[in-house]
Amino acid sequence: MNNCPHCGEVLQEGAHFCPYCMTSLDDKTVIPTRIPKHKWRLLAATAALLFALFALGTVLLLTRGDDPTVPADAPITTTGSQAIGITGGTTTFSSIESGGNTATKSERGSTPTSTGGTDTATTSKKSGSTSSKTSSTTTTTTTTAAKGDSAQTNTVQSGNPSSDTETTTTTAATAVTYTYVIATQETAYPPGKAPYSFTPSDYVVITGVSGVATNGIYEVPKTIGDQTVIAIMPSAFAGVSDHVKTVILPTSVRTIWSNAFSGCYNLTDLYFSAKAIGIYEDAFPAVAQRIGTLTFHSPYDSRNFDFYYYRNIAGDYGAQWAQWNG
Amino acid sequence: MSAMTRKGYLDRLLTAYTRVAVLSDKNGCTVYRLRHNTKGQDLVLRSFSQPIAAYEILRDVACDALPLIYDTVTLDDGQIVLEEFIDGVTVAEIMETGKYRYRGAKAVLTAVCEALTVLHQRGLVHRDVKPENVMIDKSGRVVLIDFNASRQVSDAAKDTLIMGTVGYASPEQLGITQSDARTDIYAAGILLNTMLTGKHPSEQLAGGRAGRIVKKCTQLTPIDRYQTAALLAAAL
Repeated sequence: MNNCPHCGEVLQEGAHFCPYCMTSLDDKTVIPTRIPKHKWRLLAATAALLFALFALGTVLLLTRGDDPTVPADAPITTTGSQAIGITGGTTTFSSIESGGNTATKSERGSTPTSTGGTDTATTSKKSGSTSSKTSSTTTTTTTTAAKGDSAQTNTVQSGNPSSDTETTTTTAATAVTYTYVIATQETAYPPGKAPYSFTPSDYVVITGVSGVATNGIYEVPKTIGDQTVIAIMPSAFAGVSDHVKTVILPTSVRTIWSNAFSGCYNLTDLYFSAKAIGIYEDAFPAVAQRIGTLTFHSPYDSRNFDFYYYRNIAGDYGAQWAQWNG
Repeated sequence: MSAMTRKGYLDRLLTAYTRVAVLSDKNGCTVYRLRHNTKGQDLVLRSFSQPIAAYEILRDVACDALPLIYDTVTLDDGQIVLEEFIDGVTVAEIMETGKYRYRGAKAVLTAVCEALTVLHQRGLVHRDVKPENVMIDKSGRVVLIDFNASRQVSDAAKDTLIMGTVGYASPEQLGITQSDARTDIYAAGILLNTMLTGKHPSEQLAGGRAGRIVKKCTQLTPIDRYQTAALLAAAL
C-alpha cells in the first residue's frame, strides 16, 4: 500500500493514478494525432508492401509443391485434411466424404469387435505421428478411435439398446439412435485441452447416428446411461446426412472432430450449449460446397464463447458462411 | 499483496464516487460510469475477470484518438481499469439518423486509423472495430474505444479463439490465419462501407473511390489489403 502524494489517500500498490483526487501519478507519452504524411514514408511503405508481396509470391511458389505434406506440429486430425480446403477443391472433398462413409459403415455394419483389435496399435501410432496422406488419415483416425475403444470395452453394440430407451430423441419419424464408444484422452478433447482430472471411463463419444428425426432436428443427448457424451467423432452424422437439418449439442460436448458432419448438405443450424468447444478442420465439409449458410447458435455471446477451432472448419473461406446468432 | 477483490476495490471507490450508470455487463466484463462526488468529473471503470494486456500497454499513452487509460489495477479476482469517460455518441448511434457522406466518413476513419496505428505500433490488434466502438464527443474528437477483444500479436500459428463481432470479423479471425494489424484494416474497411451505405459491403458496396478503398481493405488475403493503418489513412 502507498499513499497519494497529493491527497494522501491510500492507493493500491504501484498505482499510476489517484482516483480520489483524479491526479495522474506518472507521465504519459503524448502521441500527436496527425499521422505525418511525408512522401518518403509513403515510398518506404510502398517499398515494404512490394517486398511483402514479393515475399508472399515466393512463399506461395515454395509451398505449392509442399502442399500435400503437413506441418510436423499439426495434431492428429488436423493433419489429415490440410491440403483439402485450399487446393483440393470439390473432388477431394467428396473423396474424403466417401472415405468417411465407408468408415462408418464398417463400424456399424459388421461387429465392432471383429473389425477392431487387429491393427489398432499400428493405426493409432500412425495417426499420432505426422502424416503425409490427406484423406486416408482422417479415415484412419475414425477407425482407430472406434476400434481401439470397442476392443477395450465392447460398448458399441451393447450400448445401442440402452441408448434407445434412455437417452435418444425418439420422434414420430423413426427412432433416433446414437452409437457410441467409451472416450479416450485422444477422442474426448483436442490435444492439450483435456483437464488433469479427466477420467475417460466416465465419458462416451458419439460415433454414429441412425434414424430419421422429425423436421431433421437431432438433439444429441447429454448422457447415455450414466456416462456423459463429450465428443462427436468423424462421420458420426454421415449415416443420417440426408436428414440432418438442425443439430442441438448438449453442454457436455466439447469437441467436434473432422468430417463429423460429412455429407450433411442440409445442415443449416447448429446449436451449441457448451461454453467452450473445439471444432476441427472440415467438420462440416458438405457445407463448404453449397450456397447458403450454417448458423451457429450459442447462448453465449461470440466474444465470450470459447470457440476453439483447428484450421478451417468448413474448408476454404469458412468466414463466408459461418455466422453467429447469439 | 493487494489482497483485495474487485468488489472491495469498487466499494471503496464508491465512497468518493457515485455510480451514474452501468454501461455494459457481459463477457465477464462490467463497465460502470462513475462520477466524482466533489469534482463532478466522470470516469469509466471496467471490471474484468481476466486481465487484458491492451489496457496495461495503453496506460502510458496519451493519444487523441484513444481514451486515456488512467490506471490498471490488478486484484485478486481480476483487473480493474480506470478510463477516461468520453462524453459523446457512438457512430452506431449517429448512423441511426442517417448515413455519412464521404467527407464525414473520411474524418472518422482517419481518426480510427490514427488510433489503430498507435495500437499496432505497440503490438496490439483491436479486433473489434465497428460503429459501436467509435465515439465522437461534443468537440468532434473521434475516439476508438473498447479493447476487450484486443490481443497481442504473437507467433502462434492461428487464432485459437474466435473473438470479435460477426460481420466485422475478418477471415483470419474466423480461422484462416493469425490475426494481425491487417485484421483491423479489414474491419475498418467494413466500417467505412457501413458509414457510407448503411450496409455490409457484401450487400452494397460504396461507390467510387470509397468503394475501391473498401474493396482493398476487405480482401480475403491480408497481403492484398492496405498493410498499415497509415497507408489506409493516406488512401483516404
